[in-house]
Amino acid sequence: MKRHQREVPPLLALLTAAFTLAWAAWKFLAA
Amino acid sequence: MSGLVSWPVARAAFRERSRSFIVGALAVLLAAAAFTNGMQSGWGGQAFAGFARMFYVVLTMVLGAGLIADELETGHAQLVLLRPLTRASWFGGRLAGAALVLLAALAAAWIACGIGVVAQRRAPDLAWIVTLPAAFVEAFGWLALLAALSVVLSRWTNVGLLLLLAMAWWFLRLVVPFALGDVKHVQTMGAIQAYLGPQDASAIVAAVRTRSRPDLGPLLYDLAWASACWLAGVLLLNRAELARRGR
Repeated sequence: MKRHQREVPPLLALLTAAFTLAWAAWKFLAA
Repeated sequence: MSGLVSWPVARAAFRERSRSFIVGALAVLLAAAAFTNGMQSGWGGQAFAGFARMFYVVLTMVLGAGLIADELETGHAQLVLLRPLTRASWFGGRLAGAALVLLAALAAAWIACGIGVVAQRRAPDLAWIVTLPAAFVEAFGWLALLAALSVVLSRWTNVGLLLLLAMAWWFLRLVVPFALGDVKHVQTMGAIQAYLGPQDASAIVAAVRTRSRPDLGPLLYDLAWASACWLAGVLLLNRAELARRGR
């Protein structure tokens, strides 16, 4: 298996971080 | 976007998953349940309540069962991955294909509910519109979890493990507080339970009806859950040894 095939899409990591932060911010603001 | 989802793989997964008899039967039952919800309540916000919710939860499990493992075990994935295609985009394609079947079934049921509401001489409102994304986001969170589990668990055992954990949790939740003789643990465990999986986002629908500020917490939590599971699935697949030497 070539190395380039094992890539992790940066967009996916970015989305995960963004949604988690958005949720945490929402909970913080709602509290 | 092409790095995230391989659309030819998604199309093939959509075709494969939508041709299953059980998926078709569940989609019909879901539409019938949503239609009767609309007829009975005369309100589109009830589209995915009661039986409809049960049917789409089961539909999600059927769509997610062996979603990745089936392809790995037959060697089909290994063949497809000989093409210039990343593992991430193949995984994304499988997940997107199953998610599109789910979305199609939910959308058909959602329209059926709208027809039921109109048959009661009422107009579908904004709450009806919100039911579709609220139901889909939660179900997609579960589907992404099943896909990630399917990388490491054989055949349908991703669903099996989830059901086993759910049963074990309910047993603990109903028995432990009483065994300890302290009923306040019931509340504590209830609070923990909300974070053990994607949350029910349908409270937004009620908020839209009463025009109060909707709680976007569950919706954002589900999106975080779905993308985290998608990411975990890609990382697990990247670590998996696909060429099975001597096995």
